[in-house]
Amino acid sequence: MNLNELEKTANDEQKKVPSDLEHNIDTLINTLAFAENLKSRKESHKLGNQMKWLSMAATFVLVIGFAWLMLSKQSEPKDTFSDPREAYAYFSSTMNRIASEFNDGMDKANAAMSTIKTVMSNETK
Amino acid sequence: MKKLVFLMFAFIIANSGQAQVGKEFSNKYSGSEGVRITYISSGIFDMMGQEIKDAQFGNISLESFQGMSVIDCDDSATIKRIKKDIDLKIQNEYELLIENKEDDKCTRIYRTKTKKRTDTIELIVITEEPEDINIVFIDAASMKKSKK
Repeated sequence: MNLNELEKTANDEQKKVPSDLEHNIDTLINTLAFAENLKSRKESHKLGNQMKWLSMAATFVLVIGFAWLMLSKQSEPKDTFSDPREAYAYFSSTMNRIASEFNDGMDKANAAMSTIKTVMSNETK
Repeated sequence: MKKLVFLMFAFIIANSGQAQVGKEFSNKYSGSEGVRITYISSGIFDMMGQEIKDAQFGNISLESFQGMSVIDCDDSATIKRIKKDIDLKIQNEYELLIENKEDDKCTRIYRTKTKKRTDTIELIVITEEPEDINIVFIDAASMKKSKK
């Protein structure tokens, strides 16, 4: 058939469109859109999981670093004396000095208190 | 997760806050210009006889003794730094028991504040002279704990 005959045939015949064609096209479009959506959600979920693990690891490293910094300040100094007798001699001389200072302070406080009491009793008279 | 991180930080900070002041200062100023540090731990007296361990120094017996640090400094610049640090530390956490001034020498004895008192007594004795500062840190278990 030549072109003119084809054209004539097309104009003459009544072609029927299937009644459910529109429905089928809609269903196909919806199915493709759903598949596309599902795929992108899976990818973002995978990325979210990776970020979550990364943030947990970073937090853990931060906490450990902070703990190490704080605990390093508390390291035990080395004992100055290796002989316990020398250590005891130094310890007792230091404690005796402190006790002497404490007693001097208490004596002054007691003397001041008795002076205050004397003044107050004189004033009441 | 957030609760866990918060609890971990709180635990670390709480523990670090209980760090003994004497050790903290000894570690900080060890090696500084003009500073001599003497540290005596409680462990060194474990080798001594019981009669020594029963010796009393006021409210502190050797058995309750937990450690002593002595910082002595005669360098003016370092003295300024130490004084600034110790004044900051004392301000909020310690109360003054006795202050004794004699000629050029001033001695102050501090103890941990009543609210913060636990089973450990912390005493700080600061002796200031014109060109020298001497600070003694003493840690001991309280009488209540040592009697148990």
